[in-house]
Amino acid sequence: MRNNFLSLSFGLLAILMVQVFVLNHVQLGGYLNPYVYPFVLLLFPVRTDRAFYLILAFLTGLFVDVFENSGGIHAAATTLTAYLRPRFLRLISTQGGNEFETLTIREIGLNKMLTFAGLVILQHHFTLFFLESFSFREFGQLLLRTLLSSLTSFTLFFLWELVFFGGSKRNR
Amino acid sequence: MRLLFKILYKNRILVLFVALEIMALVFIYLNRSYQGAVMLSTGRRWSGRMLETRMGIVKYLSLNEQNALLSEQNARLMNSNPRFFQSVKVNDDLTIDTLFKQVYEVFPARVINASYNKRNNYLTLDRGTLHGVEPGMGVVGPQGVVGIIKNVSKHYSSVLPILHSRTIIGAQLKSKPYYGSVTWPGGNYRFAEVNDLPAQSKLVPGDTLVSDERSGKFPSGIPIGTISKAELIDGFTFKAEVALFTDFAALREVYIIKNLHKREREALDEETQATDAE
Repeated sequence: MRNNFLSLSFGLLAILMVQVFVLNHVQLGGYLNPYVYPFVLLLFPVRTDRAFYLILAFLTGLFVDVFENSGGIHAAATTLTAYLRPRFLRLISTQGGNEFETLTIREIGLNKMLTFAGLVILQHHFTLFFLESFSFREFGQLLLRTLLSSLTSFTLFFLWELVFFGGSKRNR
Repeated sequence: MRLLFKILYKNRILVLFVALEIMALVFIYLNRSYQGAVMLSTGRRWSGRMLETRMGIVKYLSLNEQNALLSEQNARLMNSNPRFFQSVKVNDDLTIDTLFKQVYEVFPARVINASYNKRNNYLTLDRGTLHGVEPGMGVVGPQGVVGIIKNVSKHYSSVLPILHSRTIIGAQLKSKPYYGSVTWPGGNYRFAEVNDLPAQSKLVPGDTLVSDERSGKFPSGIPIGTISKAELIDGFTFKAEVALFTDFAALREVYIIKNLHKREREALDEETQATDAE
């Protein structure tokens, strides 16, 4: 538990560096900017203290904001994601995810992971892009950006998961 | 009272959540106003320094490309045009030998952070109040118009590029005497939109759009883009797509333009409006 928490904290720091120095400058087709940092947050142990978790999410978002010169849109979106996480967990588990020691593909299975991570990232990206344009006038464009960016972030995240944690349950 | 505390304690996660969200929204609001920019510039100072280092590396890797752009621009400057100058003589046709007085001063800056894939994009330059930058100054790149300075801290300044929903750049056609305004509808960063060009301008794809000096932010004639699609709306004005000259994905070196007559022009405008109101 302790080890897992430490490795996640290091993971968070590493991914933030990758996010602000590499991914923020990667632009696909002029529309898409992948954001992978929310994934590390959503993988924090379910039993992490909720207040601590919310503040950590807020600070993580703020860190990205400072580098993107975007005020607080990442902080706002990420805090909302952190607040809603238990609700998303309840969708994939009757016990609200409490039976899981860690949230990895190995532990909760591929299908549940896809649903959970997919919903979370859609919510995060939608909030983010909405706050950025701050209007519903270009709603189609907003939806398109949300969907395409989510797909990109999602793919990157799953590659990362598969490489570092393995996709199957055989190692248990 | 105790009940209130009890309820608050029971919902402490919700209370914390709401507090954090309000804080984030305040940051967003502040970032869009001047005071906020000054406040947040403290955070920007260290992120700016780190991004500067990163840009140093990226710049080194793209030296060839940058050199090509620079020599291209040098060539253009060598065939220097008198647009940055204003004739002192009123009667030009008497003599070709006229005296010129400088109106626009140009100084170079480096782009240390930039985005171009969002609905609202920003650039950060490594020049600030220390170097004489002021909000409202124009910014051009080697290929053409880039944007307008929005906020300035001591060492850095941020630019609203053409690729921002609140940027409006005054423009004119290079070959015809008509004015329009360039905005960005979002989407592809290589294309912007030009509005307000009258029907009699007979806009056709291929026409070149350049800056105009009505705003006093740019000298006239700095390239913006070429018309790629033009459509007459309601019979009176054109709505057209502009292929921008500036490639915001490859922008490293830019120039900030200072109008030496800015105060004079502003004072004159103010006086005119004040006396007009009487």
